[in-house]
Amino acid sequence: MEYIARFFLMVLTSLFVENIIFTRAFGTSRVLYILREPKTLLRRTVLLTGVITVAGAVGYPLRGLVQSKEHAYVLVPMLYIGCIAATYAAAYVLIKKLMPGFFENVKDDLGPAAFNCAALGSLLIPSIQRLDFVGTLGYGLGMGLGFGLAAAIIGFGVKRLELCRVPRAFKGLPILLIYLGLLSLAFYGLVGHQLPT
Amino acid sequence: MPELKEKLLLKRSLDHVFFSNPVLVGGLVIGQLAAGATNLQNGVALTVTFFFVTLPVLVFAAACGRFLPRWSRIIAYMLISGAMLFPAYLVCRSISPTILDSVGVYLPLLAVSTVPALYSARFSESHPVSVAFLDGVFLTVGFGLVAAVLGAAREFFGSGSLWGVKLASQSFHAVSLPFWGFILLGFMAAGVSGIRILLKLPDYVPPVEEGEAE
Repeated sequence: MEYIARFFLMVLTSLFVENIIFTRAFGTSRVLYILREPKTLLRRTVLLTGVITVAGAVGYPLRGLVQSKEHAYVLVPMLYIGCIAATYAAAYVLIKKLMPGFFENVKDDLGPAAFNCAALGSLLIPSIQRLDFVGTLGYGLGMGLGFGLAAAIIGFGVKRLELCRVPRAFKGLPILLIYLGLLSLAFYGLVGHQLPT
Repeated sequence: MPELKEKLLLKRSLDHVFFSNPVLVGGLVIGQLAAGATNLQNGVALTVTFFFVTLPVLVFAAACGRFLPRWSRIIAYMLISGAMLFPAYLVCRSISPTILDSVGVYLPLLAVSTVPALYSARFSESHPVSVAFLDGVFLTVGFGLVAAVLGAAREFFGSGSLWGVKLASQSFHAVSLPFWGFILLGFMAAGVSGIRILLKLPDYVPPVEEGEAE
């Protein structure tokens, strides 16, 4: 029972309090890229969440090997890049073999969903905070869901911004970044304190 | 004709410095700057790392990418950029002993950022090595320009110092939080957009989409 409670606490913490985009700023460029094709958002969120969760589970027993080493600052990210690569390769082969119809839909999204700052960042934070296995999985799941939530909120705003009269120089990326900043400020109001890095 | 094409490609690469800046116009690598470039030293460290993780991947993608199975290319690119984190880390550590604590996780995240992960696969693979090399250099210069200006502005307004040297007594620590990074980047992007409008430059085509179209 205690494990389940801790798991859901980590999911909620990473979903709202430490949102992947608004408070951590992981994968911001990827969100802007996905917003060009909003129909793919759900599929990409599911893929990203799956990659974070599986790579987190694979990397958890291995991270102890490098975490206490002198150059852990770069060895841990290098280890997790390897874990993401292994997860991507396994997912590619398994989906292709077991679900060929689904594979045709996701084959182009698998690479970008696996290799991005959102995935690597979501794996590094539990390592830095030395979360246990349950906490690592919960944090990863919440980060993946938080990515979808943030992308949906930004997407709604983008539609409204397109209808607003903004100075020509601010149209497009500049106003979107300012909007992102204001949303991020609102999330900081929710958190109420500075996050540790 | 080949000379004209070469000149166009060179101009395209040069434009990465300002008119097609990867951050302010292309919208790439925003998160690391918004959250990581909180002072000038961090900006320099991020630029050094960006150079180390980007240039080898773009050159490798142009030279060898097409010989690998399509699905495995991104693995090769990411393993190369991941390995290049080590020399970047050694260089950054020599800038200042506290810099890695200050920049946090945002430095290693550059290894999987949009440029080595997507730009390499969707643009560099279909272009010669020389173009990929120039792209790597000028993308770094463009990224570094934004990182330095953003880092210096946030350090000065945040703690009244520059490169750790105290210049003024004011302090406004909120400037170092990501939301200020997004807002400042938005105003910087508007500045570049305004200059593009004044010079009547054609609409910007994102390199990733440009690559997809080829």
